[in-house]
Amino acid sequence: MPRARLLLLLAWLLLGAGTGLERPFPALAGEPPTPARAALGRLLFFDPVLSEDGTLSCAHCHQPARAFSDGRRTALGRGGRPLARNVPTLWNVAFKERWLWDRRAASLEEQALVPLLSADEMAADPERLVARLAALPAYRAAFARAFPDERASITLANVTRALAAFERTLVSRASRFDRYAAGARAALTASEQRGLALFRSLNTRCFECHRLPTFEAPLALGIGVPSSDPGVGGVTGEPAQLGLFGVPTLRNVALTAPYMHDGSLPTLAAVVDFYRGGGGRAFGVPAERIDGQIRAFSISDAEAADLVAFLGALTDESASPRVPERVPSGLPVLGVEAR
Amino acid sequence: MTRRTPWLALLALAWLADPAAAEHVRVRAGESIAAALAVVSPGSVIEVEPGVYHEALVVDTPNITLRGIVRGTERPVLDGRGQLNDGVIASGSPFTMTGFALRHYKGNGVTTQGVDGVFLTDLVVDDTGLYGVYPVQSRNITVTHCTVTRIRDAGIYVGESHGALVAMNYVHHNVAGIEIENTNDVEVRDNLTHDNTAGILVFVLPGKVVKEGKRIRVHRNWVVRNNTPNFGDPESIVGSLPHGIGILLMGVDDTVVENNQVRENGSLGVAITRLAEKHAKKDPPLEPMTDGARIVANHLDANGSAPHQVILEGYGAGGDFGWDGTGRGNCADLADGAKPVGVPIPGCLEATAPAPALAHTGHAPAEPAQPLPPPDLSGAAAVVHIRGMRFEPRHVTVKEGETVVWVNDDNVVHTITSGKGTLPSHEPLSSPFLVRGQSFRHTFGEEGKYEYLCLPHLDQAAMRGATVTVAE
Repeated sequence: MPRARLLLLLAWLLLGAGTGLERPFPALAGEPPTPARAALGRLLFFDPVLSEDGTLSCAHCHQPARAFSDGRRTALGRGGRPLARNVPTLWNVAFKERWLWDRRAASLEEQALVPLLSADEMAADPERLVARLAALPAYRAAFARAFPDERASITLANVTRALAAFERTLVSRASRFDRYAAGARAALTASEQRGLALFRSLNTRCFECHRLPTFEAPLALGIGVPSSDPGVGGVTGEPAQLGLFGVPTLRNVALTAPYMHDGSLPTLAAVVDFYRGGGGRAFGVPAERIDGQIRAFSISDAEAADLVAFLGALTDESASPRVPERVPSGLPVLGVEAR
Repeated sequence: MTRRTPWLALLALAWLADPAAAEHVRVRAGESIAAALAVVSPGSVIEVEPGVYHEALVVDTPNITLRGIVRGTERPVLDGRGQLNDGVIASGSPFTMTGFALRHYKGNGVTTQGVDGVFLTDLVVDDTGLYGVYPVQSRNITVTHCTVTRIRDAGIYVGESHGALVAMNYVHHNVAGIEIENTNDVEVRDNLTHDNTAGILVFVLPGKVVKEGKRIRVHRNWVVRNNTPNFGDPESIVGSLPHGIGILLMGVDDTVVENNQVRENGSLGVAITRLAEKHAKKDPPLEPMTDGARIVANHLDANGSAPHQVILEGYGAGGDFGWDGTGRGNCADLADGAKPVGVPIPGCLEATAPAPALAHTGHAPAEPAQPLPPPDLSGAAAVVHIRGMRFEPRHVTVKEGETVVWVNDDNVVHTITSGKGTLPSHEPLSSPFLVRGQSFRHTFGEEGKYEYLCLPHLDQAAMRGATVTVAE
């Protein structure tokens, strides 16, 4: 290809005149992150000072090296006790409309309060937490920089605002799929391209719920993972919503095994097999708890492998934050062991 | 980087504006359409010669036209042979496809996903799995002159979209003929739907990002004898549909159903109902009632004679019109002979709901219509022209083994369909919809007198009772 032509092609790609797969991301919801708040949020995120007994930080479960999940079936809470649900990734958490598997949090700040205050998790007492932070000069300075208009800026609300600001920087939108969507056909292998077509097929119907460009949807749906977890119905008290969960993003999904709200499926291949068999229909889950679009479909094993390969092309950790070597409390930084 | 961007933008614009980048590509039988698609630039037209193509196509490049070359009864066929998943998946905007046949796919015939400007015309879609034509999450959609048959969910589906025209399609022997779902500003007109489980569904369903279906006008359609037992997946919503349904409105608002011919549907000719509570409660932001429906000036005749058990239980009997009594501002003007069942509905003269404004603003097709090639009259022992809403000549005589060719000279669509009087039988003559300039041919094997009619116009005396007499 002549150089001028290459330059033109490059320009075309850079400027977004790509393919129909290139869709605009939704606007960031909530308070825009300022650098000072995101920097404070990063320190808080990795600092076990947030937990009452100094043993847990956000990163204990949301480990950067595991795409902000923890590799376990379900999360480990206080004292090493297993919790009920699988740790969701934080990548692109800013683009969601509601948070947590059961969608009970209406904002990222509200979400942050849940593990912070839960007796099974960080079990923070708001007054003592504020006192612990106020006793550390580094935090006094960081809060003052992050919230310059507030005189008493170390508050529980501002802890969650700073954590949310940090989380809003965890944006993943530069995967090989995105390059392909922008027009670079060579960005996906032949197998991944076949997998993308399967993803968009009316045979598999993956795309109907895992929608471009976030590969999720602001919906509560039932797929019938066999479990006694009431899901959204446990929050709303509505029997028709028993067993419904929020649709998770598939961005960086290859890095966040195991899968489903209870971590019961160990690999993406197992997830594809689950859907191939008709989701929970194959496990005797009542039909009214399973969305009408979840139906058994027939694809070959090679096609299933293509689909898994495509999901691997949704990996992008280029915006990974730097993990602090030490945090203001002096407590050990958790959740940063090598994968 | 940012400093260079304006400079690069100029270069890119020059690239995009370069007419040499768009091209005309011709694909011949034995060649690969996918291979052509892999290298075309935005704005290109891919013309495909008649032949059978065992391919699944993906069109992500913007502004692509896939044009099948139709010569008489010959056209390119996309054949999945029961192995491939989808005929066409398109995401490039706009997208135009005409003149193809699609058959034997596992999932679907043609789907557009996230496309602004969808033009699907003159497609013959048979046995392509769950759906025939499936624009979803798209805008400004036109689906016309398509023939869609033997589909296990909806023949023509438009979902979670905005702005659609579904017109002059011939849709039969599917579970749902035409389904408009969670979509605003739609016109469904001049379609012929018969022998489906249900003819035309206008629905709002739960679990979708778009939560409403408003301002839909269903008019001048033929909705006849949709009594085929449901052969869909019983666990899907459409699989639970009772057979014998003409036009069903569920959960949608400000729908007009006007001037349709709705006949001989065994359960209900036209029905208005809410989305069932068990479904609605899964998705609380969704408003499950059908509101502001106006059913006016339809020809409802002989519906409800063999109602499905579900209809018997819900309405007590089958009929020309049924209402479950829910929703606000619904009305129907029924002729004296029409048989209503369920809750009595107010007439529209008493109701005050305004007729919905239609906001369909499709793009002009990317290419002007080409002059039609002359019809293929080779080997014809007799030629019948359909001209001025009549068959000319009305009666012809040929010998065994000879061929008759019909040519549509009218600006409206016609069919050549076997049938006695006003009763179509489809054997042995069953043409697709013929637009102006298209022809249909049949070679007659056995002696006898073959009567035929035009399905969309069988109410006109000149468009039925025509014959071909085959002598020894």
